[in-house]
Amino acid sequence: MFIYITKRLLWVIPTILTVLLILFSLSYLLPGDPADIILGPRATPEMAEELNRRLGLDKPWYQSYLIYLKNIIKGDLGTSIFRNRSVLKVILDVLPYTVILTLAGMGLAVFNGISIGLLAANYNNSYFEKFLTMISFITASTPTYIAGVLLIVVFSVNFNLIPSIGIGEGGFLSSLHHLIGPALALSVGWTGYIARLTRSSMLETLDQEFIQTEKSFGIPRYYILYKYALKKAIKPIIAVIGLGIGRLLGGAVFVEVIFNRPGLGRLIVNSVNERDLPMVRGGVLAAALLFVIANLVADISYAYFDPRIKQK
Amino acid sequence: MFKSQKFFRFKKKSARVIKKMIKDYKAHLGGSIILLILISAIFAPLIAPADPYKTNVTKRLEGPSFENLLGTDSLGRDILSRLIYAARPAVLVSFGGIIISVIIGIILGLLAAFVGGILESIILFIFDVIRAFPPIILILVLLSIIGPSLLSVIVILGVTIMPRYGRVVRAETLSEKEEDFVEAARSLGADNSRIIFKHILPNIFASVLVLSGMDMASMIMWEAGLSFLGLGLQPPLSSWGVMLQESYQYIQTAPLMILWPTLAIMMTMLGFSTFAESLRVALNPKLNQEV
Amino acid sequence: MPDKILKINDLAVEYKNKGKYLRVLQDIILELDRGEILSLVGESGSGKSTLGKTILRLLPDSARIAEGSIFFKGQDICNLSEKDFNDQIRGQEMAMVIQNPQNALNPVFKVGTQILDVLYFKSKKQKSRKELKKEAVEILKKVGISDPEYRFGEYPYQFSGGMKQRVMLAMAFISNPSLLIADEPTTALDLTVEAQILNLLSNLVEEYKTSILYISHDLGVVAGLSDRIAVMYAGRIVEVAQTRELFDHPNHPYTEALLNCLPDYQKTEELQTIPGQVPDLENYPAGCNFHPRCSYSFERCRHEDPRLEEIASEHFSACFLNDR
Repeated sequence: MFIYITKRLLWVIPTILTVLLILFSLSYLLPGDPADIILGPRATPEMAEELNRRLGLDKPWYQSYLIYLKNIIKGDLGTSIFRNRSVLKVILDVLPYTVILTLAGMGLAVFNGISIGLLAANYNNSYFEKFLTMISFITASTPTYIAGVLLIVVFSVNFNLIPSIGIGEGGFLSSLHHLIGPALALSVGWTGYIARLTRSSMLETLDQEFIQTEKSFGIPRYYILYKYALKKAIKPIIAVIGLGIGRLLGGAVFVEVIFNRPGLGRLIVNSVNERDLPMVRGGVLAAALLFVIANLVADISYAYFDPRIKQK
Repeated sequence: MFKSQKFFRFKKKSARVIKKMIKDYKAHLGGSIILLILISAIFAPLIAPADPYKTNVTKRLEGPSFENLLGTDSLGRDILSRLIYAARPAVLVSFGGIIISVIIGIILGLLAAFVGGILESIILFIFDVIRAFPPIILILVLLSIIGPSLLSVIVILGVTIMPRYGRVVRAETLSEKEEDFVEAARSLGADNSRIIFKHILPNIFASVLVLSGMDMASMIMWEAGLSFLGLGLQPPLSSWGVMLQESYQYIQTAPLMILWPTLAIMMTMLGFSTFAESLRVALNPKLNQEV
Repeated sequence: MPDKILKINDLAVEYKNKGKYLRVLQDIILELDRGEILSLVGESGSGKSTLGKTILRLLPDSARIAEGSIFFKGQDICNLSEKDFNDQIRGQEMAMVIQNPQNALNPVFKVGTQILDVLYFKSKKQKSRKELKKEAVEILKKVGISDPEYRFGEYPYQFSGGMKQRVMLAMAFISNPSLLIADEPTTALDLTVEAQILNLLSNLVEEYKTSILYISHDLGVVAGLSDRIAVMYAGRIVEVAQTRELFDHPNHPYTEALLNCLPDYQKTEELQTIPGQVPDLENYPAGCNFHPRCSYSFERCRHEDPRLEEIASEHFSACFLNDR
């Protein structure tokens, strides 16, 4: 298990390096002089010269890439043009909101999805199952922003049940209240996906021979369903959770904009609109890191459920 | 002998799939929605009751009436007409994007499988890097480089989704290459292009078709989403995402208005997914759900 | 009164396929004495596994019993509710060992956990798992697994095929069942391992006085094991007799053909095969199911279904040749 995790961790490094290379090359790919782009329109020639020296932009690209890497390792992601603050600080300010939102959304999706999927598998071939299957199919094809907009129209505008803006002012309950709508909106698409996956995986598992053996030895149905079959059937679901967290991170962009919440997604969208290159770079790096970590966690938890990998 | 057999199998399979889909109500539902969107896109000027760009400040934010069946927007434009015209960017993005993905994907996948070596590693690495980003982040970065427009949305979506096809084509090609009849064909002097067109393309046709049905839905979703964020198509151009964005600003005063683009997007998504789903089932009932 | 443990009368089982019901078993009549080993022999697709699963109610939802009844110890078990059946029969009175040990154990649970669960439910949840562990280890020892305490905490993939089958037998005999259904338990194993498992099975039967319904496609394997043999073809039992009697005086042309297929070390003739194929479920021929492959078939075989009739003492066969 330990060796597996180490291997998996090492595999992350080339990916991260490439992501960094792409982000680094952004300043060359964008039209105009890199220093001007990084400093923004208010820069004086002296500032540009100073920056060129500091970032090594006057040296060959690979040297300045190394300098870029060194700065990142030191935690220096540059200064936001638009906010005139350290990029790292801005990101660290909003990051918790996005992480909490994503985890809450995934939690809801996993819980609701598995429940719906189990119900559907349990009542296979009934009208109730057809109804659940339809629900999962529709939710699985609902874009996050549609879910968000509909939630606001119905629950905020019509019934005034959930707040449509912001993160709440202090207090745990207020934050939680403000989290309901966004997390629900974020979870909708994956709820359907996980429900469908759970159902098909459960049915496939229940069809296998060991389930018959267990049955023939007199183990009760509920026990077979929720212990033996579920643990086997849950594997593909674990496998998609990492993927799902990545997708939900993407969905968080929309949710944060729609519900007007601070967060990484909204930060990146705004910086793209503001042409704030250091901020875009930093935000994308943070998002890519989160994505990679999510995949890593998923792989490791997957290994935990598959003893064959665990032993290696 | 083996060649004709293979080709015969492909033909027989297509016939069976079409027969199955004719009987499937899901295919009917999805097919008619897709057809409706196509018709709206092609014949928009003939169908739309009014000019989608004609503003009328005296008739802002009106509800449905005989004159404007779905009401008017914040600039007094006819919502129904804008909805119909908005099918155009949706169709352009989905078809354009998928053509780019499939073509680049097939070329890279075939290259990787046939040439192998360093080229294969490089191509696979490109795929991996593209997949290392959450799609929206990659799209945002690319958009920040080339700027928002219809064409850039099409190209970026095409490139973002491409690795899926590349990987499918490569995997299928590798397994096909192992098969006896390809070996036999090669020993009889068939060249690569013949093997590709006779053996490999017919075989991946099915999976590519199912995948692209689903991806076309998600491309329409992305286009609307990006336009909604103000990063895709730009107003006054009519797109469902732009309309969503415009009506979102009036959500407190005219909440009904946002319903129409929402419905259009949902219907499109469901249409494409049901059609793809029916196709998937018809092609291979046991095909894994995982995509 | 002979001590009948299982009595099946005119059983017919159907599968639903595309809205139509297809008969997979027809006119099944079978009796099993206490402590007897009855082998069910036939080619794959003959319905022998389906019969085993029908008795234990392990058929998928798409299958149903169309006719007939199954009596177990004088009780009609077809009429039991699913809950009662599970509480009283499965794991208490009957158990099953299946063909492929690779799939017979749940791959994501430790072997010990799976044994403990069987013990736990057998004890009607009265004993804690801690108490049961000793019993479990004892059972593993009995089926010949060395170092059972250590093996207890391992996963199925760490066991060889033969060891998995030993574990299966252990789990099956935990409940001291009156009837064990063994569905080709040795088919997937090497020949030497097969012999060991068969040996183990005979020992267990002797010790526990269990009746066994042994399902196999191999007449050679069952010859040394079983008291009686029932031959199945295309969903029907075509011949039932004592093992010795069946080998010495096969009556049904299909049995005869099967016996001819057995390799014989004394003779050097070429190995025989049965011409033709087992008919598939959707196209059973009219009349006797075997007539298209039968070299003796005559006019009547094409129209009428032969029924099992006693042709000698304890020897039943379903063939019109006996009427001529």
